[in-house]
Amino acid sequence: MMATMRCDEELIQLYVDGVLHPAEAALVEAHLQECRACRRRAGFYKSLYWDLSGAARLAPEPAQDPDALAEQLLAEYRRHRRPEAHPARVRDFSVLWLTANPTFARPARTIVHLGHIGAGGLWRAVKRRWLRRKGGD
Amino acid sequence: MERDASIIQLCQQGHGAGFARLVEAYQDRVYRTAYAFVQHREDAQDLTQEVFLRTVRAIDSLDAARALWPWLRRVTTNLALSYLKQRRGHLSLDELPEAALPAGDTAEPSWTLVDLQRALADLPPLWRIVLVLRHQEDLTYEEIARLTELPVGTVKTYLFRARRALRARLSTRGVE
Repeated sequence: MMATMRCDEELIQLYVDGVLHPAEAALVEAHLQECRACRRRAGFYKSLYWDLSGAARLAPEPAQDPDALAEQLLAEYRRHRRPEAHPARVRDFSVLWLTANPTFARPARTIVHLGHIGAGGLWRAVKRRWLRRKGGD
Repeated sequence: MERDASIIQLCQQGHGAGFARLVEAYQDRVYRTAYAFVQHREDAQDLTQEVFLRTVRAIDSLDAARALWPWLRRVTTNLALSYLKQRRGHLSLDELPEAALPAGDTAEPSWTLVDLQRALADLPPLWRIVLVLRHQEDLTYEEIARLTELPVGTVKTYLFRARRALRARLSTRGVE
C-alpha cells in the first residue's frame, strides 16, 4: 500500500517545478487525485511558472541607442588599451637612453666632443695665421 | 556559439564591428534581465551599460570557445545585487511586509501580465532575483546558489516564499 501525504504547498511547488525525486513525485500525484485544494494550487503554479518564464517581455522598451552604446564600448576599449601602448613605449625609450648614457658619463662625452671641435678649429686658425704671415714676408 | 566566438575575437582585436555585434546580440537580453531584477527602467538601462563596459574591460580574459550569455548574466546579477544593496541601504533584501503574506486559499485565480508585473515588483529583491533566475533563466537551484553566493537551502526557501507570496497576491486579485 502506498504511503499518503498531507497537504504540503512546498511539495506541490517542487512537483510542478519538476525537481522532485520520482518516488516523491508519485506521492504528490496520488495526493492530487484525492485533494481538490491541492489540485487547484498545482494548477495555479503551473500557470504562474509559465507566465514567469516569459516575464522578460514585461519590461518597458529600452530607450538606449545601440549605435551610441557600441561607440561607447569601442572608446572604452581604446581608453583601456592606451596606457599600455604609446606612452609606455616612449617611456621605455627614455629609460633606455638614460641607461645607455648615465649621468657621470655625459659631461665627459661632452668635453671630448667639444675637444674634437676645438682642436680642429685651433688647427685651422693656426694654419690660416701661418699662411698670412708667410704671404706678408 | 559561432556567433559568440566571432564577437569575442572581433572585440579582442579592437574592431568596431565586434562591439556593434555584441550590442546587437545582447543589449535587449541584458536590459530585460536587469529590469526583471531591479524593476526600474532607467536603473536597468544604467546597469545594462555598466555590464557591457565591464565586459569590454575584461574582453581579453574571455574564452572565444565559450558562450557569452552566462558571463553577461553573471555580471548582470552581481551588479543588480550590488545596486539593490546600495539603494536599499539598511533595509532587508529578503523580507516581505506581513501585510503582503497569504490570506489563505481563495477563489480561482485570474490575473493579467500587468498584475504579475506589479506583484513581482512588490517582492523582496532577493526573492525576485532567485525567481527570475529559476523561471526565466531556467537555472538549477545549485546554479542559482553559486551565482548569488547563497546556500542552496536559502535559495529553496526564497523560491517557496516568493511563489507563495505571488499566489496570495494574484489569488486576491482573482477575488476582486
